[in-house]
Amino acid sequence: MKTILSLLMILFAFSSHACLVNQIRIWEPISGYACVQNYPTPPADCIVCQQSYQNTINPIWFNQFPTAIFNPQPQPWWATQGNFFYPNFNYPGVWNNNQIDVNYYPGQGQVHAMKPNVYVESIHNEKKFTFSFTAPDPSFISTTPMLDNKNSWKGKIINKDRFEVEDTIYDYLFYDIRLPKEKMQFERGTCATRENTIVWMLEDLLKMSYPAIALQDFEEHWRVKIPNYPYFCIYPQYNNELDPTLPVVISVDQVRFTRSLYVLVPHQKAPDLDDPQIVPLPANDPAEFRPSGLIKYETMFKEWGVAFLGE
Amino acid sequence: MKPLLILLLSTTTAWSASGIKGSVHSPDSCSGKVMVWLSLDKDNYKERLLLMHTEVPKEGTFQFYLKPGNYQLRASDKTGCEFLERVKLTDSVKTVKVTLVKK
Repeated sequence: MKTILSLLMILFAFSSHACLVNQIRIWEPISGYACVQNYPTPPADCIVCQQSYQNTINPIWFNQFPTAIFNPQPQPWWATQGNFFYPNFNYPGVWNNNQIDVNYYPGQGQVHAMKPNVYVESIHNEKKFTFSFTAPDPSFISTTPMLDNKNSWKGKIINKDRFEVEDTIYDYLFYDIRLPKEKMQFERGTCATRENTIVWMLEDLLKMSYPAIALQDFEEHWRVKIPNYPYFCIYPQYNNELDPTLPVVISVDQVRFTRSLYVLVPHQKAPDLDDPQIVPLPANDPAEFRPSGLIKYETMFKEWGVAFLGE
Repeated sequence: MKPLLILLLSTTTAWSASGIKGSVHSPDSCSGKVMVWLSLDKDNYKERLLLMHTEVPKEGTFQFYLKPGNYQLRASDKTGCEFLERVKLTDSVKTVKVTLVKK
């Protein structure tokens, strides 16, 4: 009887979007989502081992797995240089006690969004735009290009998918910023190995129809800059959290701004509900709040970012 | 009274935003995109910490928001062009012209 009950519980957990009490959501390419009591250890946190495992266990799945962006890329040139000069290069910033060391950065906020990039897709070959951060005192860490004294970027969208600001062409607009932890959500998300965390985020961006250049930049940057922990829990922050916390006004007609910031919390071992946690382990599906990738506007701004907690 | 008030307001603004504003320049022999690196050396140069880095196109601009301190601003591209400058920051925004040279 006890065995039947356990089987029913497992079946229910796998078929449901929300997990039961004392369970967390995990994700891996083979089984997709699952609610588990104890995190199952994957065969290994390396591409070759996982591919070998996937071929053995589920060859059909492996054959159907999308190629291109998920394959490991050669080290970008800047990673070779960064490794040479900076001992903490493979971390998103100054790192201490599994978090960003806030003592080295100005401003307020425990959530360090270290690289939101803003991309554009437009039906217009050329269109003037102003992109303004309207919060009274945002805690920027860096921006490219520099903002004007009203915290705005002004320029033209050119060739439908690039920005021109003061006669210079940018593939994307970039900023680092600190955000208040209490305005972020830590209920919805999932936990996975480092490799599967990257894959999960890329798939999430794909579901929101991010342009190819955004996906390529994301993978190139974060394969290098996500620190080497075996596990991460991912807490996606979409427009639902970001619009009220860091409001943006874009002065273009028929425009839509899709936002996605993944707060990553590293774990040295498989996340366990019995261990003390900095934030609760995720138990609910974030998909309900994911912006739709189906609705098209004349001009689409899309932003991705990865954030880490700081203390 | 009005000029004094304006002076006080502008001083406050300068205090709240210290950092580096930069523009990137490089000769044609260098590659288009440049990585700008911002670090500081701790414990009498025993430890070097990378705080942030950003990719900037040629003739592009960037801004780092920083606490007062002594920093190292480095820029490089994939063809070996480089720039290096030590920047001592007090409570203000310093403007730096980042001009790469071929090594």
